[in-house]
Amino acid sequence: MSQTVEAMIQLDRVTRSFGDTLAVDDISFHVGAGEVLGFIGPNGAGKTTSMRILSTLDTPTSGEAWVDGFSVVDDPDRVRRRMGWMPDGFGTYPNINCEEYLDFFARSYGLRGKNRLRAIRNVMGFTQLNQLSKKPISGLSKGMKQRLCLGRALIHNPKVLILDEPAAGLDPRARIELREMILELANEGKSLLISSHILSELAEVCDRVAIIEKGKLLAIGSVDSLLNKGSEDSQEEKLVQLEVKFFSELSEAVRWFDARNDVALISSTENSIVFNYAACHKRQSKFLAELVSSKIEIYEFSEKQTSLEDVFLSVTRGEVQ
Amino acid sequence: MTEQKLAIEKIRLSGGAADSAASLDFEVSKLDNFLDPLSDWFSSILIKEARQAVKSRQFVWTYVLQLVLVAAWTAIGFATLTSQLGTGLLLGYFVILGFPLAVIIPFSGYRSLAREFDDGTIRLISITTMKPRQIILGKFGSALIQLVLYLSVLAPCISFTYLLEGISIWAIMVGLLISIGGSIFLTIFGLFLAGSFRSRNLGVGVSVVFSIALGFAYFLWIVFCFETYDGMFRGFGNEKYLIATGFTFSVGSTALLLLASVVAQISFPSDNRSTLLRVMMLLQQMLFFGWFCQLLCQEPFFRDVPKVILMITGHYWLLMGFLMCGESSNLSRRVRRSLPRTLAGRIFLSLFMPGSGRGFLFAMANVWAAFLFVMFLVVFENFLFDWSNQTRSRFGTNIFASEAEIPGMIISSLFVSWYLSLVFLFNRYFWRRMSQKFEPGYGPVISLFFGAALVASVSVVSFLIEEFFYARWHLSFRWLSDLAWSFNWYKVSFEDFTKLPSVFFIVFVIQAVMVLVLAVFLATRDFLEVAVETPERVLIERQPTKTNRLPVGESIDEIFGELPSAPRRDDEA
Repeated sequence: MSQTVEAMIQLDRVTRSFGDTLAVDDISFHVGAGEVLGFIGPNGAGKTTSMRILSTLDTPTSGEAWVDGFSVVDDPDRVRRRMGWMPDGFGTYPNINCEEYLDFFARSYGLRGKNRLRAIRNVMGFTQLNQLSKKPISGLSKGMKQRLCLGRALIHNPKVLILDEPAAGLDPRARIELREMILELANEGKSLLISSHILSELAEVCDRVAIIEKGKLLAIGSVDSLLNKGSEDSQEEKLVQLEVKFFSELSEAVRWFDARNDVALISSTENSIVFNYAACHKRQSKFLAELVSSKIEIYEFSEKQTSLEDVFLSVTRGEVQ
Repeated sequence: MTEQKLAIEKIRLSGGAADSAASLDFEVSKLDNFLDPLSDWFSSILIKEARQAVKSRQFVWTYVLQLVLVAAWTAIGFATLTSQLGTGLLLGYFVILGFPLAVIIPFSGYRSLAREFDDGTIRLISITTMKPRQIILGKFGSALIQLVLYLSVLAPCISFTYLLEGISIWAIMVGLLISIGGSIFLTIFGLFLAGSFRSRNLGVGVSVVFSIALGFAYFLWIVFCFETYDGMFRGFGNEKYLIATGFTFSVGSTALLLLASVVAQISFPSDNRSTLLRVMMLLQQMLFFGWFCQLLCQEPFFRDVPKVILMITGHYWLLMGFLMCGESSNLSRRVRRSLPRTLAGRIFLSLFMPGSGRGFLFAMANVWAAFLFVMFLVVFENFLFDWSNQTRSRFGTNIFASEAEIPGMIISSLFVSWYLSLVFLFNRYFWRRMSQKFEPGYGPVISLFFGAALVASVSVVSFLIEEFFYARWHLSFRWLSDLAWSFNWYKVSFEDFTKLPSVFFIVFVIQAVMVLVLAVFLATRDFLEVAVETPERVLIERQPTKTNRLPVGESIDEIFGELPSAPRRDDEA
């Protein structure tokens, strides 16, 4: 096993099993400096387990993981100095306010004197919690708690951030603000690994996306490539979702489609049909010509835009371990 | 003008009523700024928990209640106690002090750590640069702070009783030492429970049982105060000295062992979790030997010393051996980096490193150390005791009834070695088969359960054979595989071992040696693991450069740079 020093996060054939259950199965990927990688998968897919391994909370059964070139198993103390982790649940303490909370973690990361005070001030400013510094944590809204949690993860100014479902339970405005913060952090050169169920948001902030199910990495690549936008090769055969709108009777159109065995109907309305068709551009063109020459009166023929949700659904089978 | 000064100015302009309050606030803020750098010397957990405690109702109520009770008892005491005023007052103060010390502080310590597991905040602390030792000592330290605060309420009153008739400084010291020592032990035990039972459901049951146990401990403290106040408050007799030191040694060393155990429980899986525990076990054994030396000096004709030493060490290492046999033999690379590299280091220090085989040999080495200690006593006796005249040796000891007991003791020592080797051998084999099915962290506990079941089942069978077929207890090979060996020793003398039939004796010795050799041979496989080199990346970072010499905080900005500025909100744009 070898590590790529340039990669800020690297997993190399990581497997984690709990008894007979395989939570993470032979996963390998890396995240470069300043890169944001989205980590998506259904519940129980192994996202949190992978993140726990990277956060030095767990060890892999086999395989190896590195953060900034340091092994998470052999040098967890060095990894911790470089890594900030935001869990899916917010851990809080009674009888403590925001400033004291951040102060506690700043001290716990070994920040001393003016550096500690400056770190708290910087984080408060970044997360815009200045006004709430003396407010007890128990009185904070979900959005504010998430900000505080992000602030805690940032208090020692780590190079790598691991965010587990950071946008869960947030209202749209809070989500937008969180997204801006994430983009800002990425611009500053921090490497981020983010898991989320809100796939549309991931598409906006992530450079690449990794899809995981039943512990296996099913797909990884840039958002564009996963959305099939990356390939400009007209000779390449790919599965596309097409929609045709017409004036004719639906039954007539369905009959025509049923007669072909190279298409798969997905849905239909009174005057439109959505279907899957695997072909290169040339064959699509030929298909359109055949459709036009039929008796069906077509007024629109288009390729449906694939979203990250579509990719996710097509790649995964929705199975939970 | 600073923010504080501006605030004061605003208040001054708005009315003057709050003027003094704002001024005080400013002064407090100045004091806070002055004291803040000093706080860098303390554990972050200590500071956080002190902040929480100050705002906690439970602490405030207990503190106030203690103040009220002390004041009330002082008034009632002076009004009603005509004779033995000092003793009566002191007793009352100790009873009042006992409640926070025996119940509140240990339970707070327990809940403090248990809540970290319940709320998941332990994960957040674990991934900071704090070491597990610092986390646990921080929790323990915050309990000590509470202890000092509660003690501060009673301290003036307890000191005052010294001025009254019948109260010596010794009485006050003994009472305080027992109550403080007891509180510290119970707090550590609470931390140990919290670290051991992390499941929320199990935690509820443990909370209930622990709180009942603490209530009972408080009850015992009250009984102790009332039953022994006469003696305790008039001084501590010499005859109780041995009991006191024995109790202090055993409780103190057990507390350290428990503390090391909690640290091990929250340590990262690849960390070395065994060495500190083994050092503590060794310390406990050394204190045990030391105490027996002291016993022999004071009670020279205490003839059960060899038996008691072998019996207690045998049982102690049976328990610890089971736990250690459950350790994983696969050392992490992190641990292998620190494996001793010299021959002497590999021979002596390897036993302190983690691993099932090493654990087995560590337990056996300590049992053999106990035999050597007893053998030292034998030599001591032989050289210094005149058997023919039955006179006391120069040092006045006489721990054997006759010379014939000495070979018997050697045989019985071999017997204990054989017994432990055999059960550990079974235990290690069992854990080797089962280790794939369980997380390595559960190994010691599973190994302990299996070992206990093994010993208990063999003991029961042995007992039934003895009871139904022979209907009497005597030294025989039928109970060689019985845990009761140690208890039966009390019924026989070492000399009886020499009266065994020679054929049994020969067979026993041969198979005992074979088992020992096999067990030791299998354990030495652990020693084949060799040290690995530290990665270059780590070595580079360890270089004593200007940046690395400083704590993380001193150079954080130089290493990582400043945080980005806050993104603008939509409405601000």
